[in-house]
Amino acid sequence: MFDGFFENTELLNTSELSSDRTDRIKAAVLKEIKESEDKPMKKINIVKPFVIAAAVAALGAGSLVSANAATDGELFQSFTKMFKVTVNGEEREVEGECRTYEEDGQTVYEYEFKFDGDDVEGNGGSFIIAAEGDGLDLDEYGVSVDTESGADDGGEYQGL
Amino acid sequence: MKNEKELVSAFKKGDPAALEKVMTEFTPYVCTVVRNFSRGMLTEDDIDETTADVFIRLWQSRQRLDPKCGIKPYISAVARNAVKNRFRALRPPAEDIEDIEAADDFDLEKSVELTEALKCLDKGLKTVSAEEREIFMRFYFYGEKTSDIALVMDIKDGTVRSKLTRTREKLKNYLKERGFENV
Repeated sequence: MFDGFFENTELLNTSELSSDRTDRIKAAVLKEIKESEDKPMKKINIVKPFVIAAAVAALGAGSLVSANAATDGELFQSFTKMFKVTVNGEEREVEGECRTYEEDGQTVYEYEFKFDGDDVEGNGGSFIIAAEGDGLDLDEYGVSVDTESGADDGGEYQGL
Repeated sequence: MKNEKELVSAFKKGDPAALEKVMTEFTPYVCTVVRNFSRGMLTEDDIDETTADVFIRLWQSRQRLDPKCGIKPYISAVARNAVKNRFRALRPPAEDIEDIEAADDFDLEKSVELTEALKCLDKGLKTVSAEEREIFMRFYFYGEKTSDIALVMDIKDGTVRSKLTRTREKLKNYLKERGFENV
């Protein structure tokens, strides 16, 4: 690939680095990766599987309380935010609607994100992630959903 | 380069030993690319931190790697953006990052299908002359200044710039015709 350009290291005057400096860089990388991987994991239910891996972190906020006709007027809280979403490594801002409602005595938290078809290889539409209990604190943790790992009933998310 | 393919393959699978080996092997390379892209605007400490950022970003997006492509094309794409992010954080005067911003209009890392974009670019580069190819690669992948490229290749700085502009337009069109609109 690239006509062997990258194999020809003489083209780039790569400077020598002291082993101390290399070790410091490596230590910083390993520390950062360990910290990000040590963040708590939670089980989620992927209501509508989506074929991409997504990572989400919330930006800003605004909220409203409204009645949900689909649940016989039961009050639920919804709010729309702009989320920082990483789709296949590309970061973008996407509007997401967050909803909370009661179901079988449990508070269910749903986050719905809508994508255009052009954004994700013809797989436009929306995907919803949901969790019970304490819900998903996207502001704190972000979320990474990987439907390719085979969970359509209990995928995992992890902090960014 | 079989060993690099195996290394990238293990890295992609999340093997911590592969991460260590990638860092051991490529830290000098990443540092140099980051230093080149930084145009003397970053301190050595900043360069080290940006280098660390590059490896973290590579690890977090390792599913995008294709072992057949090696790791250096990805490093270059990630390093350029890492330097730009560092610049934005430091808020240098705009004129000091002119070259980086010039490189900004050819940003492969923006592409969702980075690997496919790199492969397409590889094919596109075969349609330009060897000299144009080398200028382009040195500028966009190694972060070298046009004046340095001119010196090494024994041509005028103005020639480097004009060839770079022409090659960039050719390749942008080549990629655009093949569906890579956002590059």
